[in-house]
Amino acid sequence: MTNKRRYLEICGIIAFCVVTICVLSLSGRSRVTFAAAPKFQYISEPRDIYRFWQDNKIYGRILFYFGRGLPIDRTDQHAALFTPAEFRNDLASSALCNEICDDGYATPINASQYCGDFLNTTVLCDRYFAERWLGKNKVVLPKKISRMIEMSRGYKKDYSLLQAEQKTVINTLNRRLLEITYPELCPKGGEFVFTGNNYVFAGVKSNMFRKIYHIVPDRYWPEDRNKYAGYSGAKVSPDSIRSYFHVPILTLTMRALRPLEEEVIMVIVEEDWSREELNELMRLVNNKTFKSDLVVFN
Amino acid sequence: MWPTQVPKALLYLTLLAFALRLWGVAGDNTYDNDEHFLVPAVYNYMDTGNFEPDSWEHPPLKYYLLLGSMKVFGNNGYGWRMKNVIMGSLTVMVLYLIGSALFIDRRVPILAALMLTMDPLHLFFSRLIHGEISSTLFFLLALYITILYLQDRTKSPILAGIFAGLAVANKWYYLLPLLALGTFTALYRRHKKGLNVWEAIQLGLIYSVLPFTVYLLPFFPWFQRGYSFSEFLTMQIDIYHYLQGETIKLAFLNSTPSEPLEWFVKPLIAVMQLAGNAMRVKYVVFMNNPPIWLLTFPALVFIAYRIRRNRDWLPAIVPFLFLATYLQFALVHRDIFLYSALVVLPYAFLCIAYLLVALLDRFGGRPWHERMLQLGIIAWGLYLYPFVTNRFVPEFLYAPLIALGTVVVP
Repeated sequence: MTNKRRYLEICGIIAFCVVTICVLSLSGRSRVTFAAAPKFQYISEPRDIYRFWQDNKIYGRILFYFGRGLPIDRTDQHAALFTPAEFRNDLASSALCNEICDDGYATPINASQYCGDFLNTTVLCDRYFAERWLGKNKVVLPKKISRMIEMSRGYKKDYSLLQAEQKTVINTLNRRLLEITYPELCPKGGEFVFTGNNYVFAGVKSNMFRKIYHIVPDRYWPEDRNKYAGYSGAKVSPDSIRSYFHVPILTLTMRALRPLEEEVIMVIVEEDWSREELNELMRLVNNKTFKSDLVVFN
Repeated sequence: MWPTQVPKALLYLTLLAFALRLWGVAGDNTYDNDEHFLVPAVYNYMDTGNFEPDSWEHPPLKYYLLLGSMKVFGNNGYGWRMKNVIMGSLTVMVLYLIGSALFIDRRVPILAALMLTMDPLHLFFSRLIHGEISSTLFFLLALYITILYLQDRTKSPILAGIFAGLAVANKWYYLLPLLALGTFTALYRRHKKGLNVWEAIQLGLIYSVLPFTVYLLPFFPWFQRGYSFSEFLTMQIDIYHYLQGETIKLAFLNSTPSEPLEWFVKPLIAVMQLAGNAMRVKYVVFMNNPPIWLLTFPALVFIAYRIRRNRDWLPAIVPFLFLATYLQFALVHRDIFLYSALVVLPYAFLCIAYLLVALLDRFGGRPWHERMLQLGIIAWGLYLYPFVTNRFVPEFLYAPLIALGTVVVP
């Protein structure tokens, strides 16, 4: 190999590496969005906190969560199954049920009372519902639904033998098809059921946050430290625990928290803090020790 | 100089490997433990850079490979598993090429490739979605190109760096072997021709910076979540810590052999009954291949002895990579399940094939001895084939094997 070619290779590899790092890093950081002006708001409903972030077009941010029990539970988030609260009354559910049975998608029953449970255990668990639906309806489906149909075709197993994620795909697919077929009767299920335990996870899932600082009141630290230290892969130090759940999570005491250059999103769970602690926290926010553009009091 | 003629043995072995891996792959006969979360995660990762519902601690090249497979074969059983069928078959081919490049005796690559073709563990995982198969192929390609470079049959090993990067971007198993490969290349080159500073820098970049850059690229959607390069580095440290203490909570997997020191010293079989009656039963089976795998350590000692005696150092790359890959499993303080053995099998089979050929020669080296050995490997592989590919089999036929291992109640 000639030396000229060798130099070219050396320069080429270095340039390739530098350009790749710069492009990835800059394109990533350029997607981070900040609120136009600082906002402080009292919000009690988890769904409303999420909407507040959504309305302010939050993306790729750092979250400071002041409180115990970070709401990042990822279980039971899907709204595929029917619940009584979704229907105006029992008659609305039985009307939907009767329509579905009349169209031959389920064995007819005498539906005069709430029959969401019947739909959950029959139509929504029917692995072949989509195929029968496609046989009767010739419409162009949204991409997400088409993907679910393709995916479900590959399962080749009875519903009862499927894994939990696969069952969720079937439930969600059938629910979406019902919503398309009976727009008047079938309530629209959201993608996500918000609870006090999962609204931050919803933010993580939609890329609102890229990193979370979970700040626990000092007096609860000994108790909470043991809880979080047990997480798989957690790196424990006296004042903080570093773990990862789709985003890096740093659980630490108020004492160990250091200001960041970047403006952060804040959630302050008031009931977990004493009046003095809250006053001190607000002082730090007001004098810009902790810079924040969106602060939610919960 | 690249091979211009395709030897018949290579063609037949690759076709046999492909046929065995393909037959019935998309049916309801597969232990599809990872598909249910990997398939939805492909779309989620491409759309949002988020690994959900998959776990976050493995590099994301697997999503691209799976997406490519699904684009070609559809979002169904074929699309999910064909990438491993194809890559598993290609691994047999590349192993043959490596054997041919390293050993003059053509019987060595044929035997090694045949053992991989018929190996029950490789067969089983070549019909699934797991990343061990593709990463092994990529690393073997890196090894093959390196060997060509060391034999002056190609001018630069730059492609080796790219393939090594693809291997690491699939699985972290290859960090230490990559270091070993780069070190061996530099030392061998220095021994043969002397190594000037610029060539040392070139090799250093090819075996470190280039693979790292290739490793970075599939993270593009992840970066789009707002991350910077420094946060990427922090994430890699987090991954390292997570993998150190990772615990897996899957009933069957936790009952399978998880001690790497046992892989090559005793029969290991874990069996779970999927379906069946008194006569015919369908199992999911994790097993090593007792008669063949148990020859690994004697074969390593033998090849090391022969290399030292012959002073032909290039074949030393095989036991060297075996040790670099295997020792990281043997020395780590956590469960390493049997499927991780897939990444050391090619090296083990090359050493075993070398030992067997030497034994054949010791006993006269007649062609029919070789034929008998090949037929024996094929017959044993075909006996295990329905058992390890989740087909209904007569229970009595495999009862002695099952008695050797662990039976897991589903």
